[in-house]
Amino acid sequence: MEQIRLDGFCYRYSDTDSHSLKSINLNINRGEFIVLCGSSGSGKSTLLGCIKALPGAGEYDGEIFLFGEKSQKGEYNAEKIGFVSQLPDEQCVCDTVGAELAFAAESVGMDNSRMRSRIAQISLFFGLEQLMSRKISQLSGGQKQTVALASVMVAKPDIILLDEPLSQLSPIASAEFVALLSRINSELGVTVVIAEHHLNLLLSVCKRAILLDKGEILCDGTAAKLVSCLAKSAHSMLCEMPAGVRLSAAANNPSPLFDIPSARDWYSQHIEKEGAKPFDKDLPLESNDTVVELKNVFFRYERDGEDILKNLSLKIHGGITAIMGGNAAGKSTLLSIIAKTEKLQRGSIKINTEKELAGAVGYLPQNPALLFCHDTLYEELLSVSSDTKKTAELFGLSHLLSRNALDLSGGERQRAAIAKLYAKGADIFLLDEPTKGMDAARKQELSQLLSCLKSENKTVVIVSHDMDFCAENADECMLLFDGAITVSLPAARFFEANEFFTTDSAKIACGKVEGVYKLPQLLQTAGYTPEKTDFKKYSDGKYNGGTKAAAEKKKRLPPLRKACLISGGITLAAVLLLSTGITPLKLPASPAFLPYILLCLPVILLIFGSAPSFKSFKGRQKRPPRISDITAAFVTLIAIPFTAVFGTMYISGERKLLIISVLILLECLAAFFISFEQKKPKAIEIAMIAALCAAAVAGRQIFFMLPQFKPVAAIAIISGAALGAQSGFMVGAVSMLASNMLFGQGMWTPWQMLAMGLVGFFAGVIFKNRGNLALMSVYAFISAIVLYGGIMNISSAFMYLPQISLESVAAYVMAGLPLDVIHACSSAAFLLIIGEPLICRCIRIRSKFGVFS
Amino acid sequence: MKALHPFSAFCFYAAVIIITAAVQHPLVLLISFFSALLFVLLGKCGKISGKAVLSAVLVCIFGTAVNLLFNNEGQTVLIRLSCGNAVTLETAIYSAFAFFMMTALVLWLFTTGSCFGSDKLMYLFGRTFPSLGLLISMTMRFIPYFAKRFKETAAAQKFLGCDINGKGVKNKLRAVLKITSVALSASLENAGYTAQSMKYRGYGSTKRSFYSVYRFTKRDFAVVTLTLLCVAATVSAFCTGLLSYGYYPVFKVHTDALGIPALLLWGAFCLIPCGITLYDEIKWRRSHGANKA
Repeated sequence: MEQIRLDGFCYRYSDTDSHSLKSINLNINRGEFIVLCGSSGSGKSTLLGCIKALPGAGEYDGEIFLFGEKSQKGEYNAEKIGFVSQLPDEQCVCDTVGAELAFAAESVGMDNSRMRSRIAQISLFFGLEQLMSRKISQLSGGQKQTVALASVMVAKPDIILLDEPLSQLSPIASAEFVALLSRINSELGVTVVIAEHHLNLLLSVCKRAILLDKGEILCDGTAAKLVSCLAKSAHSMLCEMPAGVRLSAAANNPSPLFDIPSARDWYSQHIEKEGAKPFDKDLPLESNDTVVELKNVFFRYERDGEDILKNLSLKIHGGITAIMGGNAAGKSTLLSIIAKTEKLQRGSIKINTEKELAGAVGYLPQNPALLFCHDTLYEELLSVSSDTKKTAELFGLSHLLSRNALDLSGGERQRAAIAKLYAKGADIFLLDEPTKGMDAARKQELSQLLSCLKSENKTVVIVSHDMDFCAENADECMLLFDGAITVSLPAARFFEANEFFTTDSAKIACGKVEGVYKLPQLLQTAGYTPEKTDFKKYSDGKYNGGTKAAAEKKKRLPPLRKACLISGGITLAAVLLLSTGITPLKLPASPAFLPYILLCLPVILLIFGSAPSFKSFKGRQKRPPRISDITAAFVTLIAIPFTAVFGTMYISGERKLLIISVLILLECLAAFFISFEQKKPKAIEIAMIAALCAAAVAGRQIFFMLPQFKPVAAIAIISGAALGAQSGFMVGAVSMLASNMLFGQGMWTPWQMLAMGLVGFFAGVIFKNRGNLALMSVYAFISAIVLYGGIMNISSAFMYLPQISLESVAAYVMAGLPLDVIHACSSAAFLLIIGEPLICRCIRIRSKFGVFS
Repeated sequence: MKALHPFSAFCFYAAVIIITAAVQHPLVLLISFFSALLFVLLGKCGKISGKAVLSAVLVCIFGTAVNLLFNNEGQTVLIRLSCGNAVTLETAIYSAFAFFMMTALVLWLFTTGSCFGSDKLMYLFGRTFPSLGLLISMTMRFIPYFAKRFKETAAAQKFLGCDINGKGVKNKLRAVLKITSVALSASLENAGYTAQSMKYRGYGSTKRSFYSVYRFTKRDFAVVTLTLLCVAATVSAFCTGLLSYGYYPVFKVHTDALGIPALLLWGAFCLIPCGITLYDEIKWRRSHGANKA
């Protein structure tokens, strides 16, 4: 049965001139297992994205039919089509595995009993029942990807689309994931469409393979047909094929050798018949100086934790060294030991470079973006060396200098990062999984870059799962196991000596020809010249954004609304202050409705000011009032004044003030939260607010070395200024709530939530249109003392003082003041130093994803 | 206690905290304080760091001291301070009981951490505020992720001159801030992908439903009933004057004979957590043999 049909479908991204997809005609039937291959930029991801949901931006032509119905813009078809992306960390939404599985079911509105049964079945099918209450952050990459797949399956889709799901996984995790996919396909009959570079696992299980090239379908058929098509056209994709396939393609063998045994049989027969031809052997490494030496190193992260590295000794001699090992074997830890970002518990480390500087070790993390902190690539390079032009030319970055480093494509970004380290004068380059998610062309580019570094006498250390890449480039290979280096040999001997942990080429040639471990060597011995495919410089034309963000104009908040908000806030504060009775002024008690009005007025003003665009009601669809609307109105208009008036009238005793103020506080919080619910925040809004909250909370742990330095206020102010008053409130309030979840709840939690929320809220009101950093810092200072400090000191006086008097409250405020001043100073400093880049970044992302308009 | 339904756990804690905070009857405070202490000492409510308890108790002592010094009500003057304030016997008595109230509250709140964890909080929040619930869950998800990224950034930026272990507070501060900025930028960039994944899984397409694993058991029913009974009894006992107290101008406590059942009920209510813990412990020992345990 036909499930997906594309009729002459074309697609063009809004900021490029050429089409990413060119008149695609495609039918996908129930129960198929399709591999979509093609080099980066060939349109694989675009095609999958368009099938999943027609994008709002960009132009398209032609039709997509899903289950016989025409696909509409903005429909995500969550219950019919599941989608798994290549980023295991980013696509998980919730904190625990159970919540993550529930997320998809909740989003499509499944009822509770069905949800329970589905989640139970899915977790049994995927073997997740032991992990249900585990935190996502404690899972390995493969487990995360399995959870992502399971979560998508909860909604019971008929089709699963996967966009390079294996690119971040280790070989073993990849194999397990592919096995799961083929189980889903064969046992549940779900159609699987997978776009991937790592084809050696997939070609033997897939039923159909489609080759995309520059937005067109070049070949559509069985895996064997794909291989012969590739071989005929000497397509660059051939380089991504497993060794056996390459061998059979070179020999013009009609049936490709997908698995190792058949390839080995064919090879041994071939060698016996023809005899082994000579092949290029590795040149021994010229220098024999030890560049890095570790002796008897022990390392663990926690005092009582297990040793990650146990009695590890190694010597690195120049050239390119590859360190391999299983998941969580401590490879990344080893790199940070060499980079000296972690201190050893025992043992010694010696680094001998020409400069003999400890700082000559440049570390490239898996995400190269972490090395960038400036607006343009030019500034990035300028910040580390004055000779920007030369570096840019050397690394082929001259045409990109005006771009923001984060807008570059993956390959360019990595090149720019290495260039930055190079310009800073690194002698030793530590690369953490540099080939993750790369296609053959980009790997080739990286190989060239590495050999270029090697020729300049630099030392390169790679940590990687990618055996073929290591074999291709490394001079020396090491195997890290159980916290120590168990094998350390020159590459040829390393791969020859290993039986399991070795390249396919070595497995095929094993026992026939000595010393063969790379694919070109394998081909040479069989008498074929390794085909040379011409790699074009990879360029990603998807977006040349950045300039657009700056051009974005912000809407002005009408002055009337602003006046409402400010006067409302001030009067509310004044009334609340007066009603506490600690000032000599008292709220007039008669007539009885006066306090009521005094309390209502500011709240109404606040609501008017912050309500989402009450002016533009006309153009909107009228919707019937929902329960949440009514509750919000009830809370703000009736409950708060009611509490205040009846509280003063009927509650007696010494704790009267505390009870009334707590009730009003809870009602205020409820009103803000209800208005957030009412707005039905978009996914990107929630995700950005959550990211900001997380940074604020994690900051409390990170800044432990600087006492009383809490970045929460600063981050709340930044969010308010960049994303609007409501987001500012949410960031402040949720950060305090979440951080108390970690550090212990108390009576202070709701007070902190309100106080910090108001700091962010007023920042949003005041700085919606201006980005004056100095003013913002002043605001940060004042709000941290007056707003946050004030509310917190007075509230703790309410909480801990049995009897309230002006003197005792003053004593509390005075006692709290020194800490408040430190808090205020640090918040102001935080804003002054990094406020600007962060606000720019928020606004950029805001415009990139088109939210908060 | 851990196995309780979030709703009943919430009822229990709300009632015990509000009544302890609002009613200042000496016996009510003492009962609440000792039940909380007993529950903490039973040691079945998770790890409580001594440092946190100490700092909380210090705050309580501070509050008591401020009250003692700045409050002049009461008849019996003990000492007259040079600044004109007097320390009275009534204030001293009141401050002492207030100290019990504070520490009782602190202890109760400490036990919420394990018995009323974030998942139960999420359940209560998520029902009424689904977006807020999701936001909290996502925040909790992003926290370790951000911490990890911060560490990676620190490692990467070290070579570029931002060393958080460098010399001097100023350099450290600069480095920490810059690294935070870079890590947060990367986080925000990635939030876009998370948002896409949310939309792809149907977020925003329809009204969200809510998944919960909690079931209301007999025990929950009992806890909620006892809570309601106790609240009703205590409130009515104080409203009708069966129980009354006053600290000023002279300290006096009046307990009517009919007020005693209300106090007993309050005691039974406060001992619910201890009761449940002991009951479970006894059951366990019986079924597994006392010597093994």
